[in-house]
Amino acid sequence: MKTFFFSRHVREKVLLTALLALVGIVWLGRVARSARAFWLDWRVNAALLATQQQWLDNRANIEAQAAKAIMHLDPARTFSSPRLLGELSTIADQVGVRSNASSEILGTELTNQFSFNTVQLSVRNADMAALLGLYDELDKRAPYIGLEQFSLTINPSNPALLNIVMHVSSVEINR
Amino acid sequence: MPDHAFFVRVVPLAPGTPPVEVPGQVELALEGLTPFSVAHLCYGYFAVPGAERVLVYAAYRRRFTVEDAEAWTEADVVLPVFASCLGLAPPRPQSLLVSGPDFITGIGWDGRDAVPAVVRTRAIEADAPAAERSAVEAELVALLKGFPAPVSVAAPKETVSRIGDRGLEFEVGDLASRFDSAQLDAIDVRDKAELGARRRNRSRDLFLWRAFIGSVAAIAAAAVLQLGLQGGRLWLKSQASRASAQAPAVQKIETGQSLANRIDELSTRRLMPIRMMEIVNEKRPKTIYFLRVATRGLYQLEIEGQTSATPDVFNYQAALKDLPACERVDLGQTTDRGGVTRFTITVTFKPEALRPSTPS
Repeated sequence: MKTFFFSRHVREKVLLTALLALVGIVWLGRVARSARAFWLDWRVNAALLATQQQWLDNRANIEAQAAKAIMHLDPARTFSSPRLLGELSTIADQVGVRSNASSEILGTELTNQFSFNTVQLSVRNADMAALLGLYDELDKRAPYIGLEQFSLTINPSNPALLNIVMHVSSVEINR
Repeated sequence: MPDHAFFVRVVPLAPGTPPVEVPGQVELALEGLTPFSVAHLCYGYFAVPGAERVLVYAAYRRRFTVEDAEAWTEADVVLPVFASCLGLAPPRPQSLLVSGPDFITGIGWDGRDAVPAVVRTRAIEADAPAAERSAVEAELVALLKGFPAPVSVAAPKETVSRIGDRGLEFEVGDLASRFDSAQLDAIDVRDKAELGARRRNRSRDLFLWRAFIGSVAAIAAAAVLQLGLQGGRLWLKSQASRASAQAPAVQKIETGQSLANRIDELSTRRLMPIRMMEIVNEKRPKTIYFLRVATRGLYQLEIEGQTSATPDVFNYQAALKDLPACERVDLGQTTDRGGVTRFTITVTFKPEALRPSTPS
């Protein structure tokens, strides 16, 4: 190849070298960009796999922790979504705001051992006494029923009346 | 080129003559030794750094035909045969009888340096009988009296290595005669200006060759990297598939962990909005009314309120900060319109202030 190269005319040598240099630079540049993208993807994937492996390695511990969390709960007293809706309706009835209350199932999260249900309870035009009664009744049912979020707004036309929105959750042990 | 075409002289140099001045000294010596100007001569010389003499050889340019000169343009080096034997190292007393087709040359080194002390050439017919050739050799041996017995070698015909940045090597019998590129330019009998141009061309070609090789190497490296990346992508794809395959199981464990925590919180860390409102209400000035309160997580309460006494907002914030149950009090957006100031305050409570009494 050296003999071939040296036997070329100088113009051919320059053109040949420039062409090859251009191809080499462009190709290497593209490969470098691909290599960088590959490196980033590899790091992301490696981190994801490492995190997943940590979760998998801790599976037994987490399941034991979950079992421990529900150990002191009586499965008969836990609430499915429909039961929770019914229970909230009963509570609203007890504190005298049933006609102003509405509830809606927001979602259910499942594990092998239990499910976690969330319901939004809205009460319009309730007075402070009704609010306290509602809160007390929910508190009595803890930890089977719990309050996740609470929001209270003064009724603009009558500041003595309150509009309440609560996210109430319940645990249901799978039997 | 045949040795008998050249006359050869050993020219003394002044002690300490720097190498750059040697060409000028050689030209001066040739002006004195020959009746021709240097421009009409084909000449070369052999010098080594530190030597106090230089071997000079020259021939009248017109002794060579135009065809000869044209043949020289493609040659690596043009020199008389004996000159190809001058690169023997290390310097020591020795002598050579170099036999060519129509000449025999005797070279004697006295060992002072690598420059020969004596070079004598005798022309002979190419088809001369052996007896005549022996007679000439005997004459040359006699001329080399005082030197070690001469070694007879055939005239080197081909170089061992090609011209490059390292120089050129000739086989002289069992010995090797080597010249670097600077020495090659000196021993070459072609026009020195042409040689300078050749040297520049050689440097340019060498640079282009290196750039060419570098480009080829870059392309090869890019190809190897490309292949490696393709292999890597396949491997990464399998890893990503593995991550996707185990994602549902991991998600389930994460959910389990999260729900276990939330169940735990139901028993130990309940949301207590009424207690939060009781705490912030303790220090509420009479001029401030709450319009909306909402919890943010277990320990934060966001209050939207209004007042007709603007300074009370800041007084209220300061009072809340002083409460032992409050960890942090942040005053958010505050607007004043028509004499009524509306504001937002976010209160962060200390966990111990909101601890439920006992789980049911």
